[in-house]
Amino acid sequence: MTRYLWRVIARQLHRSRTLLGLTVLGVALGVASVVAIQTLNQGSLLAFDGSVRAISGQADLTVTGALPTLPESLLPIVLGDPDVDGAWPLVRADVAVAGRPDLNLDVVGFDVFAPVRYPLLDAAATQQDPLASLTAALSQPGWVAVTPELAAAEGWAVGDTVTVSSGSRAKDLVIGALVDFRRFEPLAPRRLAVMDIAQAQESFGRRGRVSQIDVVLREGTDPAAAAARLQAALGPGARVQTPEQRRQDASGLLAAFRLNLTALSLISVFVGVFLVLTTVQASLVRRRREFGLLRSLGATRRQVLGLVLGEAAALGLLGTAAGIPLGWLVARQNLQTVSATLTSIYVTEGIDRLVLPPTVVVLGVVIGLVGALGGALLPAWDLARRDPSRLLSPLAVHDAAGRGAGRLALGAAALAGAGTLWFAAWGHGLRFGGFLYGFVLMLALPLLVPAVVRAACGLARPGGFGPALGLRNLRARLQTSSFAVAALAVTVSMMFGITILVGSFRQTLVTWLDVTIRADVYISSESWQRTGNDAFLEPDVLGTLAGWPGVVSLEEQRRLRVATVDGRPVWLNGLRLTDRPLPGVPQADLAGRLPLLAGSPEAAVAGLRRGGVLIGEPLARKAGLGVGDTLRLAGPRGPVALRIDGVSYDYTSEGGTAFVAMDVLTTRFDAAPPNNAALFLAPGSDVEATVDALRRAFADRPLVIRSNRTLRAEVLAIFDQTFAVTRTLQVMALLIAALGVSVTLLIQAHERAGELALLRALGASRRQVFGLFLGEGTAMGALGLLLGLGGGLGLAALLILVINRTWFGWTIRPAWPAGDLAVQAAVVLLVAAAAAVYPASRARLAHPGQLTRDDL
Amino acid sequence: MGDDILSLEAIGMTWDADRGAGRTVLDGVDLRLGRGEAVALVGRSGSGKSTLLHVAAGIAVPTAGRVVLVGHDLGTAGEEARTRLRRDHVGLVFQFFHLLPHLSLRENVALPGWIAGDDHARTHERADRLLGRVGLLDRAGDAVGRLSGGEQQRVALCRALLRGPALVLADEPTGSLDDRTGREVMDLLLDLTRQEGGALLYVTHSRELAARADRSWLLVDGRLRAEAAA
Amino acid sequence: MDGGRNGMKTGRAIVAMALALAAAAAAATTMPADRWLRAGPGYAWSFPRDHYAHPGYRTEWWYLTGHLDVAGAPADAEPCAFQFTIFRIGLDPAWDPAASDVDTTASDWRAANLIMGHAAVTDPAAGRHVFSETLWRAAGGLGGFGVPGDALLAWCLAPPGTAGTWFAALAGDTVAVRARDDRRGLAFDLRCTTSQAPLLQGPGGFSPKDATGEVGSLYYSLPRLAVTGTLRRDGRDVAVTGRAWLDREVFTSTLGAGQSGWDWVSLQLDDGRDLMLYRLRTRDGRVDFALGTLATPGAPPRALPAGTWTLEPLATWTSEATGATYPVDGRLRVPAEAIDLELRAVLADQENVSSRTGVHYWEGAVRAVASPGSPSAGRILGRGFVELTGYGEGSRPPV
Repeated sequence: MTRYLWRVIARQLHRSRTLLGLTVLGVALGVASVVAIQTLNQGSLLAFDGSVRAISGQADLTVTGALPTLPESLLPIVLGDPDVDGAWPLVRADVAVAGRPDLNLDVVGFDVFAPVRYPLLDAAATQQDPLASLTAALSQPGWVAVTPELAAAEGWAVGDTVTVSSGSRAKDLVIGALVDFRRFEPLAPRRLAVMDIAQAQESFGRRGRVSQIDVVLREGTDPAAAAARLQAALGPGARVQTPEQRRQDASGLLAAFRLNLTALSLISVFVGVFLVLTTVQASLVRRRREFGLLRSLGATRRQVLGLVLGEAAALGLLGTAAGIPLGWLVARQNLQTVSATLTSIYVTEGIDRLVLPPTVVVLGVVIGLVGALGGALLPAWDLARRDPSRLLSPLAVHDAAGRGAGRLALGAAALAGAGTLWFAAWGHGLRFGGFLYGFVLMLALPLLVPAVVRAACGLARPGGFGPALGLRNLRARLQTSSFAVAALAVTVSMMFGITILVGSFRQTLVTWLDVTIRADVYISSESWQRTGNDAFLEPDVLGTLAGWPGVVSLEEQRRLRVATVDGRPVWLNGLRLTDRPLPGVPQADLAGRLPLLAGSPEAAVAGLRRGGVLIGEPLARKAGLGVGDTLRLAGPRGPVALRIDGVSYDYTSEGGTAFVAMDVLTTRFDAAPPNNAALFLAPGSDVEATVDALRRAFADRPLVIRSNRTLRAEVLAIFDQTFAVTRTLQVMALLIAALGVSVTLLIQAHERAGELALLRALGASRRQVFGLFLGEGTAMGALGLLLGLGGGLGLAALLILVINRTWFGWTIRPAWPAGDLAVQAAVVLLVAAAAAVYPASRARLAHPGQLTRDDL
Repeated sequence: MGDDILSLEAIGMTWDADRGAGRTVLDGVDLRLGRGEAVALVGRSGSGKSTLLHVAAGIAVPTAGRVVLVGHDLGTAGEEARTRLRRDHVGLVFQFFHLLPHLSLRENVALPGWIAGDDHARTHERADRLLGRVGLLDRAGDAVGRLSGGEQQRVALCRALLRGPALVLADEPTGSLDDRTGREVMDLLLDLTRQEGGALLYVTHSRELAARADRSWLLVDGRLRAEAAA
Repeated sequence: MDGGRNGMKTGRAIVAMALALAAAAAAATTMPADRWLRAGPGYAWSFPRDHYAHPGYRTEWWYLTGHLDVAGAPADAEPCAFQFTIFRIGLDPAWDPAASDVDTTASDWRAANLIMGHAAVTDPAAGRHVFSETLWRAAGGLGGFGVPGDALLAWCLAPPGTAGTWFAALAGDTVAVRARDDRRGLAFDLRCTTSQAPLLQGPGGFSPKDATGEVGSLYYSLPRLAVTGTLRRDGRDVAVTGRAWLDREVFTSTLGAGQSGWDWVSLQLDDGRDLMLYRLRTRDGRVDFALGTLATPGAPPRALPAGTWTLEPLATWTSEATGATYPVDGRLRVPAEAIDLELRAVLADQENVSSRTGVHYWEGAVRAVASPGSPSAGRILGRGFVELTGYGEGSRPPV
């Protein structure tokens, strides 16, 4: 049987190479989308891991602060703990490289003489003057060690000077050494740059403060117990964590982002399953007599089933073999945008190197095999259970067609109904409830397809050799065409669902920007662009700005990463509240700029003055807080309780955001200069001219000066970038669905050879036959579009109202991105038509003389 | 002669002629059909009858000779033009009916009209009229699947005659029917063709049926012989 | 074992950093030795100023060794011995560590020096020698050096796992030192008082280390300090009294060309004489240079150049930890001074192995016993310390 299997496969491959090629391609695309997304997802975590391991790999514990920095005076306390074997402070900074807008260095300042447990001088023992080598790091101003990869990419050599900046401070670094961190930690960030702690603190940090203290424990010490004791000794201003806890934090931050991408990629697989279903079905239909013969010659059902599933598995493996490299390529193609999204929204670690984790390869193989077998199971079982005589008799494709449509539609209704009931009763309370519900709906949609195709096509009254005839043909081949339409419907649902979500989100964001972005000019620094928050504007910059001609008001903003007492990260924003009204610039009035979800703007501003807090919507939703409640934040000297005076719409972070008066921030958390500033200009001022003049005045400073208009555009650009990868997934799913159309029509071109010959004999021209197929492909596209529109609306509602609220916590006002949807609809139709071109060109070759007894 | 509906002159057909030793199917066949004439073609299977019909319909191009259909030389017409000539002047009837199962009786009959882009209403009107003539009008909206063989072939006759072709070509039209039904269908075929003013060329292996034609020819080894026995 | 864990964890980026630092700067001669002052003859000594650090020179140490009688112990009990050393290792003479007091943006982590502490206790009764060490940059709350007038001469954090600091402080004629390592059970807190003026070693307090007279150190000793304080013994802090010897050396170049290590002896003889001897060895074991000083109460110190004394090994001991073989017992003869002694280690294993620096040396308490054949053969004539550096494969002195 096995030998037979291989012979069969080889023959099938040869005979149906186009068909199989397309199917393998479809499987490959499905596998690729999962592999790509999982590679990127893992990449984001591995980047964080790699960075943690490269920098703190020896540490059993890491002490961080309630604030982004902690006092270095805690170090002796840590070192004095009986279970501590070593501890050293790190000063870290995310600095911008002048002239390289996309390049930031992850500067790590560490004590080169730290009690890191290795024979410090052994390595240098061969040197004439071992200490001199170490002292260069201290004494040569700006001495920094970078990775050879980065140096090669940037064309830097030892001795070169590189200007970088943190906030409005610029600093010349001198490449002192190339250190190949990846020899020790393969996932070490490429942009790691290491300096002595003194230089790093002077250049980028703050006197007396460090970013973290890494701790090595005595052999055999229980890290949890040691962490608890250290935590008690260090007080509430510090946070002692194991590397695993830090990893979990990062993984928690990324959870929503990763889950969404995973769900989207699974849709591609789902669509791919339909493709396999179509092909296997067709292949079996074509070969039913062969199987009938096998059965009558004594092959058992199981053998036949095994034969079919074996072929499907071979298909799946071929698809997987192509899909994994393809997914890898797709991941690489999207690396930039995903990495940019991660760094602009979530964590500081961008992905600068991808690996293909073995788990992802295994996942790809499993997905490819399970998808192919899953697609083949139904038709194979159907074939195996029939008795040989029926298989050998001439086939009546049509008698069964559509008979099950009603039953399937009932099943779809039952499934959707049960899903809805479940969701209403229990599911909405579960974190994954929305995803499960969406999955159930996507499962129900294909079941509905045969009934809808039958009904829609039944309406067609062919009055000529046109689209209506095509529809009638689809209905006649309900079983094959339904798969293709279902695949399209699911794809279109996903496309439309996401497009409506993104369109609504974008519209909401634009409205929100209109309310909140009211100043004329915004000033921040090159290094502030990313999530780093110790990028300050120096007083002289602020002074110059405040005194600039035409400036009516200078608004300082400071953003600080803190956490609630139970560890939920919060971006705390300090607002400088001015008392004097500004004549002529009503837009500067804070109350008018608060997009409040709960509470009144006047009460909120009054509350802020009294020391209250305004929280962003995601924090309110996720922490279950509202106006009148108390927000408890971990402060440097213990918990800080703040009364919540308002909940505002906020789209700056899916985590928490909170707003307090600047003096609350400085007195209860951290006194430091602002991170950015906003200027309100006198009425009638030329904003762009002011921006130009400011840029000229600060040409030698690493400042980013933008007008209201540019800032908005950039915010929206970041928004669009965030969804770039979803667009890739949409395209991949659409490609798979298009392959479904091609495969279906290709099969039909074969199966309907007789019909086509007849049409030709009756005088239909080749062009007409070609047009008929093109029409059928387009009709499939239209049907998929029709069904997908419904599915898409459902998905969009689910995404906007449920999944987004649960996972991100934003209010998104549903909007109807008609233009985008129209374009996508046109694309779907075009793609469906394009997918029909090849099958149509095969169909048009049908010869009128080829009518045989069995045809039709 | 310009009045001929179909004129076959010295038709030769050799499969794989380009490979030297081809198989000659037709050899110097001359045949003319005048308006309203019914001609039968008798021969054993493999004698080239179907090929001759294909040549007459412009489906196959002979390797030798000249085919003139309603005054048009098929030899000089391209594939597109031959298809159009077939569409406009030829009605085809097959042994196995070849109805489209997903279309109703009426739609099957109307199909040539659709292909030609004829007026919708008139096409259906005419389809109904023809179905009425074969006694199937009351079932015009039904699917063809439940029809008997004879009924199917009657629908196929209607389809062939829909556009009032000058020439009806029928390939063993009764070949898959029992004798009685075959005779009924043959009657209809001859009557209808005549009534519609078309010429009929049909292939049969039944001498009885051949005898009902105005003329009948015997095709032996690719050569046409007059049916002396008739 | 700690070392195994070390080895496992060293494959990390920070280690790579240190290795690269070493390698990188090897090429660049960023730190020419001539930026440091060179120890030479004619130094103008001034006390108490010279008890404090000498930032212009690259290296210096406060080297305190002594013998401690435990209160309540039998009179014939062998005393415990201790070593307390603070090394100052200059990083850059151009840096003024006080600059950060003026410049408000300067980092506390700016360091002009490293501070290294070595402490050891030998308990002959228990047959135990315990060594502990610290190494920090002298900055940022980790350690520092006092300036004249300060109470502290030098201080640094205790090794990780132990709270508090190690220090050497000066108050009048008293030098107070403290060292503690809870994990190794080492702790002492001692006050060492002298009634003598500092003993300058070598001509004018310049102690040459080779024949050229170019290489050498500024060197003085407080050879006979009276000690009181506490010492941790079997987990308990017990009161101790005893006698100690403080050596201070300040220099920029450690060894002369071709030299690989030294033997150093300090002896406090019961007759009141204090003897200090050192000799520098070449790699093949030859003595390259030797010098000593004998201080007799009431008389000027006398130099003991090479040829006036001999030190022959009597017994060696091989370390299991490092494989180094040290001549731990020896026969010392200074014929002109009628000295013929056997120096017998109170414990063979008094090796200090520094895991932080990879350095090992033998620093041990010895009894001075009258040699066989001498009139009082076998009698203990005094106590002292022997320091043996540069023994074993690749070994070198601690600084």
